[in-house]
Amino acid sequence: MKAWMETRWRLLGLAVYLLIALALNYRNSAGTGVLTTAWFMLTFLAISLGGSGVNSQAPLGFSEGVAGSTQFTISLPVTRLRLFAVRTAAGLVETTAVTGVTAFFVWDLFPAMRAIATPADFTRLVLTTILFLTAPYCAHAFFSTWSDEPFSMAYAGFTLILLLVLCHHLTPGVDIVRAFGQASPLQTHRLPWSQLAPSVISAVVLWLAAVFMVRRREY
Amino acid sequence: MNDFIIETAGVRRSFGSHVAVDGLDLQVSQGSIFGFLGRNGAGKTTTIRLLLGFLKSGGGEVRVFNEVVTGPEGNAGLRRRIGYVSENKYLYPYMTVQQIIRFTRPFFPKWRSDLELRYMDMFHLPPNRRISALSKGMRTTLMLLLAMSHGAELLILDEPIEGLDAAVIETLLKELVALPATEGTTIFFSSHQLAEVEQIADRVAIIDHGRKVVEGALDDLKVQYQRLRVVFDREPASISWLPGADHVRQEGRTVSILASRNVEGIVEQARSLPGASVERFPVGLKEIFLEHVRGN
Repeated sequence: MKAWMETRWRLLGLAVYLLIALALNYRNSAGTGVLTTAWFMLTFLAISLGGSGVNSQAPLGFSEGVAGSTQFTISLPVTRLRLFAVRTAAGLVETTAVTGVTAFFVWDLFPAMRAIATPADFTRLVLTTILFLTAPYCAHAFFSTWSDEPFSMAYAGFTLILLLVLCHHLTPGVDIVRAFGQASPLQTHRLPWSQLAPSVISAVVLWLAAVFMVRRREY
Repeated sequence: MNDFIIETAGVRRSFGSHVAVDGLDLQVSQGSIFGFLGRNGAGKTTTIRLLLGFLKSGGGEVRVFNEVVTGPEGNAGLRRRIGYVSENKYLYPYMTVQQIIRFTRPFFPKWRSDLELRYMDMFHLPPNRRISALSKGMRTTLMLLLAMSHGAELLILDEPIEGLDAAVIETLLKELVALPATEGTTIFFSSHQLAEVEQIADRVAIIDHGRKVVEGALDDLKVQYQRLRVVFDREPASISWLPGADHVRQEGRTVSILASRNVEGIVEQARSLPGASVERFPVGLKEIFLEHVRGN
């Protein structure tokens, strides 16, 4: 309930923006840019929703007292780990739901997509996107344990860019960008596990680091 | 095992080079109303945050319900037994009164809907108004409702009457006084409102610079402490008063003494001085407080 009340407006706002972007691509008919647009927007959405430390996120129109309400949150009879785990799970469910809805619209509205991909490959692409999004999501979750928005969002964005650039220059086998290009399920008909590994491993490491911070920090 | 709900032994806590709590010993018995007093920055809120485990102590031991408070990582079960009102009185501003109650209720299996309704009515809280639109006094009463409705065995209240109007304070104090008898609740509260503390506390502690300077049953303190006014027929030379003369102030021919013990001996000493007449006055909590924190 708390997570939903804090994130609903940014979630709905970004979802509407995403739909408008899809509609504009639709009018341009070719539909080639639609996946790039959706990928970019969903990344932004994941970062935006990821600020789910013990601190509350400030919903639209509310700023005063949001940070101060942490004292109330930590006085509740639940462990910090549970507080954090429930909150990150709620945000990931939201991210996954929006990704799913976006995928449905892309599949339904763009005949070009149906022409180049089978339903199975498209499902693999959606799964690839969701697994990739765990990295930006957990990056913001980590930074929000010791920094307030909007700085935590900026740090998460920089971390993601660093990760993408680093993996791009290492070897094509771990190049995350290739997971949506040459190594995409639409090309290879399988999940790009090696290209997704840096995202998933980063997400796990960042989440564990966030748990470490949350359990020790004196709010 | 003992019957102390709160027990601290030599607790210390620093923030950088600033020592906020310095070897604090406290014992709070079950069913008591314990007033915790001190100036701004004396260490009251830090102590309360140590009791709740929000902060890790830098030495000594904190026990609540006989359980060692370990710091941020632990004691979640302990907090189920504690009702807490924070100093800043901030709740989630985007929720309404009814929503925050609905959010908080499931955390506490012993939630008392009868008390919830009683306090909603008592404090005139509008159920559908957003917390961001509540006055500070209303936010305080809402926090009190949340703390007092979940069947807490211990209430830890940090400045609970700050921002409340006189009528609400009166109602609240009556309610707090009744809680130990009706529900067996122990109340530990900090406040700057000494008159209100004096009205309801049965035991008080005063801290200054993180150290306890006075602790005792309020009635005992009032008996123990006396103000002596010694008037001389001419300005006296420096006098070495007997032990127990805690605070001595001289203004011309008049010497004012706050005595915490050995009062009879000090009176005898004063009477034995040439040209001196002695008067004794009872003292209130405010005077005890001011004498102990003034000039430190």
